[in-house]
Amino acid sequence: MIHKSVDSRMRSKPKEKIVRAIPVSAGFAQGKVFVYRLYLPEVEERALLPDEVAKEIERFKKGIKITNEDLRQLRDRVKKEMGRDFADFIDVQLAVLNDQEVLKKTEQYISERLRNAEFAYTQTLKQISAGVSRTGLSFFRERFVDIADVSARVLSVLRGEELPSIHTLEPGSIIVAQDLPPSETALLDPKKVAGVVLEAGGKTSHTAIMAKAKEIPAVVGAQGITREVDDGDDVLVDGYRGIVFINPTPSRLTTYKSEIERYRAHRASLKALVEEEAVTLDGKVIDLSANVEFLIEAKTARQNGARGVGLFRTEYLYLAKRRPPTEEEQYQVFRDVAEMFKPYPVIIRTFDLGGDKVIPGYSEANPFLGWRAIRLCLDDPVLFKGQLRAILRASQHGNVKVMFPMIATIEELRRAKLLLEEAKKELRKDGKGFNEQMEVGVMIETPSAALLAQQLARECNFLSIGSNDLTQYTLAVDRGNKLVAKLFDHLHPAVLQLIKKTIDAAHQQGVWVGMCGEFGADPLGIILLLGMGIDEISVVPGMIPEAKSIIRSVDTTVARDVASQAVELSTALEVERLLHRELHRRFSKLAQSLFAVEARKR
Amino acid sequence: MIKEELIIGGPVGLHARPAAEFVRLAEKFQSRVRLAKDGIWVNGKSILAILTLAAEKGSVVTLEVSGVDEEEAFRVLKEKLTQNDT
Repeated sequence: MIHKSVDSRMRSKPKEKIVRAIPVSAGFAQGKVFVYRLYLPEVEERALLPDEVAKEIERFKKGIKITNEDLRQLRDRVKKEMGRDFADFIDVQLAVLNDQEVLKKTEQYISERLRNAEFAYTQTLKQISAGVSRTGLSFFRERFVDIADVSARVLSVLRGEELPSIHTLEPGSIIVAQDLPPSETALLDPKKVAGVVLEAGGKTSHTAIMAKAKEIPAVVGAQGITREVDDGDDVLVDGYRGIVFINPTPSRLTTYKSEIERYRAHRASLKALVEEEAVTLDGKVIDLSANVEFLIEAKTARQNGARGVGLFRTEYLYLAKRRPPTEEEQYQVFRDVAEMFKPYPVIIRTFDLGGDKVIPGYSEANPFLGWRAIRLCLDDPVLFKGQLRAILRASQHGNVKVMFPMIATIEELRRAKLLLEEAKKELRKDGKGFNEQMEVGVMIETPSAALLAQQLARECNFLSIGSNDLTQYTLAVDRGNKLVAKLFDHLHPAVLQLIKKTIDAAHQQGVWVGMCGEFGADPLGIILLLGMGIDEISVVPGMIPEAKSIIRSVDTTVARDVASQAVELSTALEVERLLHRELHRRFSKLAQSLFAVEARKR
Repeated sequence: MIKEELIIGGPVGLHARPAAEFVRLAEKFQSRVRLAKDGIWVNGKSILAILTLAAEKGSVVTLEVSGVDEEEAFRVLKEKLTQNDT
């Protein structure tokens, strides 16, 4: 629900203010602020005559019914556009709307106190919410966004007004909010919304995901910003670096103007590549695919020209529900993605739980060295086989492959494959179809897996390098720890040697090998990978056009020479220097168009 | 009438989605369903009322079911509240 501030504060000389935030969707936006505020609105109180009661209750019931229809429609649309998990958020809103206590008490209020439906409804909501204990307040406040949104919908229907919503904004507005309800986020329109700034939220909040998918520049975690701005204020949002400038100075705008123009030109040139193949100058075709977690990301990936999903993450299915998803729930999600990408491959990674993806209610002293990913799955065969059955069943709807994360020993791969065979046996018994030839892959994320790549490749169909974990385990650096994060560098020669060893081992065994870590989204990393002979690169959906343009401007013989020099160096800094030097000397066309590299260097 | 003190299971307690699922189950029965925590009783078929209890994992609540189908209802709802994987 939206509150337009009537009495905009008078400010004679607006001073520039800088607010740091977390970048979640790249790009720049400049425009007028629209503050989205949540509150239970004040409504008019009207006394009824006793003979008006029946009609008023009828009117209230009709309002609830219409709101139900609206929300159900919205849920179906969200389900189609974003996937089932997002539709769940709207199910909660529907439960709030149809709360029988609220409905019953509102009707009582109307008939006993002879008041209008709008007033009776808000009073009832206030009365029930007032029962919240002090300790329960934060618990309850999390849901406030849903309650307020639902009540705003009901009230607008009762009043016969258009629901004030961000969908009715002036084009080019920048939304500043504490948080946005799923019903608003779901249908963000890039034509109207130039940028989004939220106080709440992390990188994986539903708003962050939607903004990214729709290419709306966005930052989250901008604490206190709703108190700093007012409707109509000028702001500049830097979705690359995570900065919000309130009332930017003229010199600030000039600096950014040229950057924004270059960025636009760059995006436009990338768009032109969507239909083109990811092929190097000397003709090697790379399977350029996408890392995907949500259906909406799969759609973006498809639009950006991804030739498959190189990594489909499944943890969200567990963490969002805060319980293990059923086989059926997983099967439906996997099938949707498989069908969307057919005939291109979709590689589903089994649960990579533990580590930083913490199971609610479970903790351990050393999670990254503890009970995570394949270890956890092998200890919980019911959970694991349920997922394997879902993946197998989805394999008859497209080109589905499975891969196991965090493999450190050959035994783990063998045990996982044994459970896969058991799952197949069960499905045959149940008369459920699947692809008997479904490919099985191993993620190379631990130094031991990289060193044993030869042996692993002998017992599977492909390898996929997860450079983030591989770097973390090789250099023994937790990059979530600020004190040591600077030591994390995937260009470190030790990491490069393990990557090269993995690629060589796969090819010696005649299996293909891919990269699904951030290494593959680093322009310098792409040059090295091409030089080492990688077959597949999988990146975040938004990076596909950029990665493609890089691949298309590299000659693998030149890259091979650069890569063989790089692995011989002693430090990450030396590697980076070599790559920058070679970039300008031998890939000059590429160097000019590398917006990402420049943006990162600042 | 069946009444019993239970310890809330599940990783997160009666948060929005589990609460919505509880209400959906409760509404399938004719019996009256009530929940109490720290002496405060609420309607077990109202999601808002349940959320006001702020019943985190491990907290103690009383489930009370009364009506024609109370036995079946109690069994199903008790399982929902105490199960650990939901």
